[in-house]
Amino acid sequence: MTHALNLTLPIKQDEATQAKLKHLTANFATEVQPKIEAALKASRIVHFARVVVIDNKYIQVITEYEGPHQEYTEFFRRALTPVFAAIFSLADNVPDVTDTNAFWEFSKNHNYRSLGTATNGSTDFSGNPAGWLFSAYDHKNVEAILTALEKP
Amino acid sequence: MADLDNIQAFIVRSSAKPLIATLLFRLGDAEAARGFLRDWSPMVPRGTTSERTGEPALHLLFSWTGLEKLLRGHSRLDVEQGRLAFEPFFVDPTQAPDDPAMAKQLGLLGPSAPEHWWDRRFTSKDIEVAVHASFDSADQKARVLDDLRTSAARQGLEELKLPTFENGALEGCRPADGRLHFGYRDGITTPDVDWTDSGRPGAVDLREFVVGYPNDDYPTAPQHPGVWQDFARDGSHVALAWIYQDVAAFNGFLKDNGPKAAPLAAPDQASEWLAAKLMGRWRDGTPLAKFPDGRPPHPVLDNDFGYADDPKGIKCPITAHIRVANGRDQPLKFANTVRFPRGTPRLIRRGFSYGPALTQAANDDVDRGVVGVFCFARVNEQFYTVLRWLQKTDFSDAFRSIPNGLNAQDGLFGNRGFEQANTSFHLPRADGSSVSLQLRDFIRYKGVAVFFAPSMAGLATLSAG
Repeated sequence: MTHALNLTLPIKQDEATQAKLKHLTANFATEVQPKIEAALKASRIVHFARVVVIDNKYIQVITEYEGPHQEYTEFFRRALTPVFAAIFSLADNVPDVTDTNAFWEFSKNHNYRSLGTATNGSTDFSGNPAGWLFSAYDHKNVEAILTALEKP
Repeated sequence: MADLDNIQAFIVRSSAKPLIATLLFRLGDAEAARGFLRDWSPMVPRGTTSERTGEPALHLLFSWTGLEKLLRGHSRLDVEQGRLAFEPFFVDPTQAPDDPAMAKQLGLLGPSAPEHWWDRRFTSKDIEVAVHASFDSADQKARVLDDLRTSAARQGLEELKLPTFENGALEGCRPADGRLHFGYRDGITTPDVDWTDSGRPGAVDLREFVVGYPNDDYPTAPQHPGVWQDFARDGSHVALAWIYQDVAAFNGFLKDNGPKAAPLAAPDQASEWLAAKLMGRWRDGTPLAKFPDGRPPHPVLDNDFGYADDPKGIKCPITAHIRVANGRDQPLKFANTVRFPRGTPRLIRRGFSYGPALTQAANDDVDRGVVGVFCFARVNEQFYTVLRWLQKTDFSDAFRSIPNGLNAQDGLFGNRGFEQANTSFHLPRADGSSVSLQLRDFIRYKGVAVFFAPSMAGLATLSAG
């Protein structure tokens, strides 16, 4: 079952944080993006992922991935600890990304629900019905799609 | 290293006492409940002690609400901080096994759904304390249970009784021959725990079973040094799972499908062969991985085997129960190798069998099964993960070797009503042919709850208030 993550953090507006954001933006393609890409490609559970900055005021990590939030949040934390540390450091009240409880709570509390209602039974971190997520291929999972594409 | 003297004994070693009961309680007044703990904590054996005949072995387990009630107002242990220190899968009701969304995720649905649990008399959330006790004899059991109940009632604990059991408590036995209702010998695989933290090759890290010693590989909660980590150290999480076994359905499946699976064998032998394929061991305990074609004259209770030479499951089907629940050397998929850098999650099992044997072919409507008692350090990363994997075998690329294998299920414990489940049991043969059998539901969950078994020091803290 595909779940959407719309992790959205307000960025602190102080000079030091804005400088960190500028650095992250400038180095994202060369330093951050390859690390995320390598981990997600190997996982075969993530459809799409991107990181978006809105007017230097908000940063979003948006992904569509397979499996319950409970099952793979810990994978994302372990696989991308420095990446999440860099992104979370732009916000207030950030968790220690080596702390599994804090990472779970922070992810849960900053995941914004999309409008509408999921048609595939997807739920949020607390088990409530998730918002709508369109799927052109009827919510087929990453593994099924890759397997179909790999067939000669 | 873990302090074995501080750990409740049943986490460290199994008991040979033949009779077992688990009593469930809701607490009343906290100070009175502490009196109950003061009375009974001295009966809890420590991990360093040998089992003593003539004395019952009692163990005390607490839900988060139980701990919260007992510790509210404590001078050092602020329960609001405790709620953040323990993992959410223990303290947050939306992450509990009886939450509807979580239950669905774990395969606790349909006839196994929480609305059917605990004889419909109470919910998992009502259970605040469990007393898990083993006895030498029926007389000892009757006397101790009577004393326990008198003491509990006097000190304001309400027993949550189950009409299924004559005595009102989950009760059963450790069968003398070790065989449970489906006929399999149980208790062969027990994790060899490295309690001294020596890094001994082949042993399982102590952090898989007790909290208080977190590291990067095992970030057990409470993860940060402080009063809550001190309180929790040498404690373990314990899950109680009341599981009905549908012996008539299981025997019927073997009878109906044995000849399809092994057409050249006599019917009885075909049934035995199919039973072995479902479990991954012959019913006498001998592993299929070592004896795939037939049982040796005497059972070989061997744990020194893997599946590397059998990627397609020709010797031991890849959805056989022991291969799903503990994949040994079978690689996990990438995301799970990241989650579990030290290997597949493990559980210590301390359960017991209940109910009389089925003596006829048809269902006799008598309740029978197993009460699973599982010990582990991380609720979500161990207990929940294993439950999920029983329902959907997408946790290892090994399952891609069979048709629709990433949606396959454990041969014995899968809930066939699980969403998009592939309920075929695939039996590949060495000649390249195969047979697929339509699985049935063989078990039904009748109650699941997650507890914390504090250390001996933790019990003293709870008793003192």
